[in-house]
Parts: sequence; structure tokens; C-alpha cells
Amino acid sequence: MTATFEARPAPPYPSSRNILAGKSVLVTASAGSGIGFATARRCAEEGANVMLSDIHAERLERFADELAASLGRPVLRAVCDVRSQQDVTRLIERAEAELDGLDVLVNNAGLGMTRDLLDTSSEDWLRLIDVNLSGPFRTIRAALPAMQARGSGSIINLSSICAWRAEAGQTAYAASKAGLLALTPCAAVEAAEFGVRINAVVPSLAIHPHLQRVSSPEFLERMIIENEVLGRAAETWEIGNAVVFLASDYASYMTGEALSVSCRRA
Amino acid sequence: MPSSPVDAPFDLSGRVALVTGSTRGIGAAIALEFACAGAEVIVTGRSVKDAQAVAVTVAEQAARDAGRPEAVVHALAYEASAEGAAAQLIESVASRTSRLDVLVNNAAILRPHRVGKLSESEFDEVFRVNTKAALFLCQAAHPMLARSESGAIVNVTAACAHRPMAGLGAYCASKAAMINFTSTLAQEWARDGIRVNALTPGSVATDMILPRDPDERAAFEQEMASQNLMGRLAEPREIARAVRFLASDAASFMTGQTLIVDGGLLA
Repeated sequence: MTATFEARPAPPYPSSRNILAGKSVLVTASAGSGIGFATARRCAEEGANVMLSDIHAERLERFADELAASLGRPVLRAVCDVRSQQDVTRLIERAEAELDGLDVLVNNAGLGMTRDLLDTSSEDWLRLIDVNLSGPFRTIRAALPAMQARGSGSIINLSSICAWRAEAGQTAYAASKAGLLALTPCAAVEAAEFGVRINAVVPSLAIHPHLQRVSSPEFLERMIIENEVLGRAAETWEIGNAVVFLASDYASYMTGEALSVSCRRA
Repeated sequence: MPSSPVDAPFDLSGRVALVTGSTRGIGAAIALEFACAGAEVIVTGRSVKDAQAVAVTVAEQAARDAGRPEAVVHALAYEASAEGAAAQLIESVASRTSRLDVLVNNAAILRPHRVGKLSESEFDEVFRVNTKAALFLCQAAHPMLARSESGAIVNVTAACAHRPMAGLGAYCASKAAMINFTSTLAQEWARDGIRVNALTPGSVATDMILPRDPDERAAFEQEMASQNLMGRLAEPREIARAVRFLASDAASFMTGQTLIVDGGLLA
């Protein structure tokens, strides 16, 4: 196989602080207590100009204001339902315009569901696929042309350890997240020659208030004992750090990969 | 676990890092990257003279490029294939520094061969350096790493550990074995606060793999570059930066993993 394009040189050496200085980052579903907001916060702390996005308008205002207050500078925000092509198109247009070019897209929007296969309706199945798999498909399709035209960009898809590890009740969720892991390298193959890197982050268990609301303490304890060799769940910002790495020029030679932020693959 | 999420994520200030096989190629790039990140670094090579020369260069470069005039870089001799080398190396480390936070097993050898015609001595030579020495260095370093607040091991592997290559069978298998050991050590030592990960570099043109003849070398480099999605070779520092990530608190929830940094070669 021979490359049919002129290879790009490695980027200049990044400074050790403000790793994302000069970059713009859009994180979907980032108004909440989970990985999305923690990721947006870490990116902003590393100097990125960040746009938060979420389906819930009121919550979006609240979290964007909170981040703005802690940073001491304004934070951009845009409501978006990733199930709607129209919403996604408008979101990327706004990100391109308001961030003066979108450098990093973080596909974080996702729905969880624990339901046995025989109890899963077609509507359940389609709802999860629509958000978890079709959502990133829509945002990537919308964001890629401008990134490719500029010759740079990084897209990060949040998958899940469920894509690799079989668990009862996770059929629809696992399939949607495994689909995202298949989409990632295929998209990376097409985008590589235009200087755009596309990778996935695969968290196992990150504890946040929403998860604690929908799961029993016994369940979470069992998950930690059975699956986490570090003996604890991840902090949401530890997943955010992995996203910062992939978004930064530190990962300039990584594309099409799945970065597992967990203790075990299966 | 780092105390604050706002710590500079790839900072290694105050840490001591041992990088084996660091007089050339990826190892030298890792030593430099670590020094730039603020770590006190121990360079090793078969020849202590070579190691000393690299240590001086690394300290100079860290001072010049990363504004670290205080950079401390030690040089130690390490012959991975020698009997008792791991214990000796860790003893030397202990005599120079009071602590060890990061171990990078990078020293390796590569010998072309056909597995069908591989001799026992060739097999032993490759596995002695790439697998046995690396594993026993982890073991020897364990007490010091366990005393660290943020002990981390990074084992450098190779793309052919994931996708075997004719002509390098024993080398591929020796690296695949280290990926396997990496997971096991991660499970055993999580309780000691030591994270153990592997890093797979791809398409890096270093002396270890390049032909000596300049024309052959150029052709080989071009061929290598065409095999990955980015259509270019990695700069050694692009591999080193990923090792820095794994060694730092930014990877605080990663253990037992293999990070593939290959320009999409294996994607």
C-alpha cells in the first residue's frame, strides 16, 4: 500500500502547561454531573475555548454559568438534541462560527439502560441506537468537512467497557457502544489523509451523582469488586484527562484507536 | 490518586524515572521528554560512557527547550542480558536517589530470523532481554515503586506483538509476552498503588530496525511510512509524549492497558 497524499509533519512541540491553549472544544451532553461536564471543565482548564451543549436548556445555562464563574471568563453554550439532524447541523454551524473554527469534537451524549433482551422493546432499542450511535454519526458528518478543509482536528467518541465486556441487561447499550467502536477506526481511515484524528475513549466505571441515583450501592460495590483492579471507580475528571490527551498534540500520532481508561479490557 | 484535578496533567515534577535502553531512539526521546516534564531521570545503556553523553545532552536540552535548568539526569550502565542485572541496577538507582516513581522498560533487541529455523540460543537471547530482563526489573523495582505515591511502569512493546510478522517471530512473541505480563502485574500490584501499562509504538525509524545501507534505509523508511493511515513515520518524541501521559497522573485510572501509538497502522 502506498500513500496517495503528501504526509503532514508532526506538529510543533507543545508547552507543558495549557495543553489545549488555542484550541476550541465542543462537548455534547456536557451540562450535568457526569463525564461530559468534567471533560469540558478539564479542557477549559487546559486553556481551550469550550462550548457546552446539552438537550436540557435550563440545565445548560446553569452548568455553563457555573463553569464560567469558576474560570472567570464567558463560556459558550448551545442547546442540541443529537437525535435531530437539524439540531446537529445548527450546533456545528454555531460552533464553527462562535469558536472561530471547531478543533475538537467530543461525542459524549449517550443514554444508559439496564434491561434484559426479552424485555427490550423496539422503541427502547432504537432510542439507544439513535442517541449513542446515530448521534455521533450525525455530529461527525456535520463537523468533518470544515476540519478536513482546515487540515486538522480531533474527534473523540465516548464508548464504554460494555462494548467489550458481556453483562446481563446491557444488550442494547453494549451494541450501541460497540457500534461506536467500529465507526471510529473506519472514520479515522477516511479522515487521516486530511489531518483529522478520530479516536475513542473507553471508560469502565466512573462514579457521578446520576449513576448513584439509578444504581444501588450494592450494585456499584459489586461492580468495583468484580471489575476494577484499582479497587475504586474513576473520578469523572480522570476520564476527562484522557480526552485532554487525545485532543492535544501529545496524541499527534494516534488515530483510529480506542483508549481504555479502566483496569481490564474484558 | 492525585489530590487535585487542576494539577498540570502531564507534569512529572518531583518524580524519579528510570528509562532502560535510553542512549538512542525511543528511549533517548523518553528520557528527554521526562526531563522536560520535570522528572529526575536515570538514563541507562550498555556502555556507561554512552549513557553519560546522553545524560549531559538531555540535561542541556531540558534546560534550553523546557526552561528546566535544574534538570537532574543520571547515567548508569545496564546490560539487560547479564545475570543479576536487574538487582544491580536497582541497587545503583537506590544509591543515587532516595526514590523511584516511574520505570520504563524500553531496552530490547531485535534479531531477524525464521521461526522454523530458530536456534535455542537465538530464542534465549531475544527472550532474555525483551521479556525476562524486563519482567525481573519490574520485580526488582517493586519495593521502591510501592513506596511512591504514584508508582507507574510503562513497558514498551511493538506493533508486531499485535500483528505478528514473518522474519521476526521470536521478537514478536517476546513483546506479546510482555503485554500479557503487563496485565498480570497490573492486577497484582494495583493494591500497592503501582499502575502497569504497555505502550505500542508503530512506524518509528530508529537504529534498531533500520538497515545500515543508506539507500536501503531510505527505501525502508518510505515503505514503513506508507503502511499507516497518516502516511508518515512517527517522530520518537511523539511516542515519548504518550509514554509521558501514561507515566503521569493524567492516566491515574489506567492500568493493565496497552496504548497503541501507531499513526493508525493497526486500526
